[in-house]
Amino acid sequence: MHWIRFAVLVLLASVLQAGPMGVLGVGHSNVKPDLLLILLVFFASRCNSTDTVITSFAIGFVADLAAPIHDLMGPRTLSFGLFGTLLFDLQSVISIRRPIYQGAAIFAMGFLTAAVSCLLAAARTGGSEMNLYMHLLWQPLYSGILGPLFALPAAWWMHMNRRRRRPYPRSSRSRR
Amino acid sequence: MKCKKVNLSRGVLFAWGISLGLTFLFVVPQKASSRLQLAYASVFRWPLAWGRSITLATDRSVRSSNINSEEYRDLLASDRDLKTKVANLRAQLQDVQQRYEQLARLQQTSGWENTAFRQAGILTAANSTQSQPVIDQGTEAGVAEGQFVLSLSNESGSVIGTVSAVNARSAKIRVITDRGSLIQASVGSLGVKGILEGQGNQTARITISREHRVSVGDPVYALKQPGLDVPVIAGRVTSCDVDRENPWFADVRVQPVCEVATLRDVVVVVSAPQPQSR
Repeated sequence: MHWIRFAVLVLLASVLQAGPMGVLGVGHSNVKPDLLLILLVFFASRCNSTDTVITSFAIGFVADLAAPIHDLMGPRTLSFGLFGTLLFDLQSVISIRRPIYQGAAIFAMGFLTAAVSCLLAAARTGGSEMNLYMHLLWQPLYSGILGPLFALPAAWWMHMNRRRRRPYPRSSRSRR
Repeated sequence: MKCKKVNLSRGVLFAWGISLGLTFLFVVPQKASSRLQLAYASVFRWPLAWGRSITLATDRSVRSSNINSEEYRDLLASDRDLKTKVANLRAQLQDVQQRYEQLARLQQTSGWENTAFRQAGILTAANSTQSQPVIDQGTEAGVAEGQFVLSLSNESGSVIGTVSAVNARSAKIRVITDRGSLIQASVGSLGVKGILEGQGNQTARITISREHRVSVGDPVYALKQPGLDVPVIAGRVTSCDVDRENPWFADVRVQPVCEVATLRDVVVVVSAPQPQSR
């Protein structure tokens, strides 16, 4: 794993998310694709087990910094970390290599992370108004549609074009 | 020197991540979280500002080609101002509609048909330092000293006091619980009559003969009298004890029906003759 490249990519994504992604905003609520969500699915589908945990929490942390829910730190760290790890584990059952499945995975992860983030934020603040349709439906849907396209330059930058063969690292016993 | 590689299991990393998230969410004060977010924004302020300018430039590109950028900016500013004004006017309209509905409901009440009311907003509410609320209507609107003041918190209104002082555009209300407030009243059924006397400690007192049965929660009415065409509820009985000075009488304590300190609007009964007050 190229950690410097990872840090640059995630910070770039967070800056793009806060600024130029507004160009892609659609509708009255200015729905934009969530680049950090796309990266979460990207790394969860291409990294090994340990790296997935680190990248998921790190992306969640940056998401809390760049696009916090109710100015809170923590909800997206928790939800991204939890569901990023879960997505990695699910790959032993379902494969998300094809773009259409990647899109579906991004949508599902977007929905789940947003739901958990909103619940955690509500638990902390005592509940307040949020545009739930935008967070739970439109943004994940838009991210799911555009996500596979963003995954291509990310894969090029991270040198992760090759297919991941082994989801879990070899155990020390089998290496012997 | 060789750098030693730290091997951490996936479970440990996951637990650390969850702990970090929970700590930030529930332990770290929100001020500290905001500082961290502000630090991020200040570190990346240049790319963020650049990104924002790109977004705005794209927005601007959709404008009509007949106007230049300055005109377009002015139009956007005017649009924002107009939207703000419209929102304020809408709120005012809703407020007026709400008041009108309350007043209409009051005038539909039996006995109030021929009575003229003047609606007034409370400028300064009753509190510990200033016990008498001030309303925004005065002699110019027909308000006079001694007129009854009703609250609209319940549909048919309840007496909260009388006008104690008035000038051209404002007036003071002596609440029924204020010292010096004297109103002819009855407890429970309209047959048990007495004088409701303000005590100054958020309660009023009425002394009645002990032969009448009074229980806690019974309504207390301001009777039909000069200034009030029909009996109107003023409070409810909170306690009923033997009067210490005169054991043949009961000392009945009364609290207003509505929370006077939280009222926003009141209604002054302006058409009826003025009652007597101390």
